[in-house]
Amino acid sequence: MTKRIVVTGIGAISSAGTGVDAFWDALVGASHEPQFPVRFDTQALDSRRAHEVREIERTALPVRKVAGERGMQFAVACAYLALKDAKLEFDALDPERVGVVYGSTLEAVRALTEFHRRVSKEGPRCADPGLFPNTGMSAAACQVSISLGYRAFNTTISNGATAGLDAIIYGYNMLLADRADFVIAGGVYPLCYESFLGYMLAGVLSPGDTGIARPFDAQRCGTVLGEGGAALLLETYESAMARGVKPLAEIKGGASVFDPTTKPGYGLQARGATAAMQDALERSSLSVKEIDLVVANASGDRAADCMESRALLNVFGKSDVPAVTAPKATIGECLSASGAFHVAAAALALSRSTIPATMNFEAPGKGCRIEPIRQTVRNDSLRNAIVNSYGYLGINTSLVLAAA
Amino acid sequence: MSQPRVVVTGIGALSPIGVGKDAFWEGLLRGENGIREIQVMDTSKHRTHRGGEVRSFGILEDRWTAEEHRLGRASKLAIAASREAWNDSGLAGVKVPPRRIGVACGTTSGESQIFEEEVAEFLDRGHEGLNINRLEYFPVDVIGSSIARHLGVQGPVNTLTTACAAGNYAIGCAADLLRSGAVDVMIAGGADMFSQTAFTGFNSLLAVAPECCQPFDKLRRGMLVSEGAAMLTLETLPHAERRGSHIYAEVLACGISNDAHHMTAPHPEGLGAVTAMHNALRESGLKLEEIDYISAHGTGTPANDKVETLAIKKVFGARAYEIPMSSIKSMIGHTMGAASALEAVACAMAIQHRVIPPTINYRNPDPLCDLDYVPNEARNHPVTVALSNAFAFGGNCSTLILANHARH
Repeated sequence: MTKRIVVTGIGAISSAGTGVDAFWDALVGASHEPQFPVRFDTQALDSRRAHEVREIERTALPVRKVAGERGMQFAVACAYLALKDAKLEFDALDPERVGVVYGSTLEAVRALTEFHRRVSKEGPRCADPGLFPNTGMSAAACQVSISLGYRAFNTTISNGATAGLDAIIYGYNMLLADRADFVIAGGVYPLCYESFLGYMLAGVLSPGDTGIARPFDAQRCGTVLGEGGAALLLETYESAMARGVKPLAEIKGGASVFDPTTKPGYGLQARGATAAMQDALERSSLSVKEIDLVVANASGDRAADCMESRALLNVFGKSDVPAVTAPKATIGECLSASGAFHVAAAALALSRSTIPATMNFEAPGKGCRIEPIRQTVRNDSLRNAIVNSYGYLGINTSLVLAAA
Repeated sequence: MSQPRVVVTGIGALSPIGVGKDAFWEGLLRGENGIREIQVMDTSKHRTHRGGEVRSFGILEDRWTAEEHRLGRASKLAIAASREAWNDSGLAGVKVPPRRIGVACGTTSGESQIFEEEVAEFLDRGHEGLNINRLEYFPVDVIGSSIARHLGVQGPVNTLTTACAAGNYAIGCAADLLRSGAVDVMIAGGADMFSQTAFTGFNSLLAVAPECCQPFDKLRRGMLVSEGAAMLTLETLPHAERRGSHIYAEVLACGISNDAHHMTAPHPEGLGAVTAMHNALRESGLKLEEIDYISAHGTGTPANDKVETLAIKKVFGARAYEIPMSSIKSMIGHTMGAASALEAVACAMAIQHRVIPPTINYRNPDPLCDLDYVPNEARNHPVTVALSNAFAFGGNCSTLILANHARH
């Protein structure tokens, strides 16, 4: 008998604010537009807006101050919020049975830049020994264990834009393998000038002063970066029942398929993206007809959205694509945190019987034939949702969740 | 239990003492010191000047595709090791559905060389100085993805960045995926290129020895920053047997844990290390007496070697004194994310050849490190089960257990 794994808590630090309700309110329609970042100046750049986290509320942290970079703060805050949301006292758990896994790829770019700035100015003998540990990609997840004491495992998955979703699948597998009783699985991405610049120079950001992301839309012209962290508290169904906690959703199964095109880029045949959804459905023992919601990867990227549109048509057929929602229009492309935000969105949609709107969509086109849900709708018969994350280098990951 | 056993059927290794698994193993048995004056960067303004570098890309030296040619050094080291492991396992001529083959690669610094070159331009000339065509190959997921692209595989691809324990984490992740039935074959290990950031950073922590790496020696002065790559072909036993593949060893268990203590210092009582070893032993179902060899994390820093020795005594009690234990970092330095993967290779070869590689540069016994460290010369010793430790920044601890698959 296979174990059932459920989501019982969600922690989110997003540009919409601290906590899961702020995140959900933004998704279902509170006005939420990207701003000019306050932490760095974009006025001289070709793209100028982003979804920046202005502050982390004090109540989101277990201690007065968490040391380190913003990515580390996001990680600790959303882990702590996920535990609270799951009605767990963080210091009442057996630390050897709580595991931590985060998706994080570019979290250390600011620390790396500052480390080298000082070395370049003052010479290598003046390098900052306090900053050096924060240049490691595992710093965010490790800070969670250091702050909360959890020791079952502590893993960082650095798979770029799919890392958050891949981390959740890793955590799900760890529970199945009985390596922990509770798993905190999520992703973080802190914005900084240097990574903003990198994405702008790579030509993927929506240009100009207004900077709007339009998933699947004919007028889409690039993505808008967001930042933050999201974490899910995962445990077995039996454990949730024994604690008397109603799960938000059940994780049915996930799959990741690599698309080995000769060059990096989104495979427009969508072979990998199609196979990832099909494998995830097969592992969940569900048919396409049982899926009522797609939480799409779509971010307004010209190629990625086109690939996803094609994959959805391949999997579901031209006339049977279920309701699609694309949260990146609201909270931005949060890279390694995106997958975790999307699973959070799917779990909330299933538990609150509501499909959140996709902002900024007017008409399909430019290779996209998907029409996402434009207005938030109540739907009391949502059974299962599929979540997609795609990376530029060829990783395609899908995960299926069921209403609990 | 219906879960399949997981075995090692192919090995690829690039190290400062030899490129290719056989050259690496022969170097280990000779007790060769791979630490030299650093060539890849100017060290004149640094506190120390020595480290370990890999001298060639082995079988792929000049055989990169146009796309691969643009990759950073870490990806190239990883691909070269993967190609060797792939060829060694004889999978090249076998039809395995590509979606049943995945990749798990660990790394500490990723493509830090690309970042270092670009950040120097950026600090000098602002964003006009940045070369986006090069920066594109910096985000670390490029390593796992490039291996998968090179081999044309389509299964799950993970790049794990649990710092200096990343190789073990990748092998453990791969073994779990194989046992779960999601895949039949995994290419798993670790890779790191010589990182100026790591060299400067570890020097800033005063953790780098000026001359050589002397694990467990009373006068040990620190680690030596180095580079390398090792990848292993892992398969389920039925899959390997069906195609009649050579089997080096079985992956019995990978125990992991975290100190939950400090970003750079190990827990003074070795809390995470003890838990990782306990987890691995429990998962393997072995008794303490069955461990024949311990491949130590053994960085050569005063703190690590003392705490690791303590942790092993806590786990093994009196038996700790009877188990030969060595640190190959004495020969190749600390290859970061590749370290535990290269150590896994050493364990698999030790099982295969019934020889234990030595801890070189060992001269002065330390009362706090009083176990059998196999000083200075390789030792003939039948190894049925080997246990390999790897610990990392942020408190991540891991213990891999490999065994002769035909041991019963």
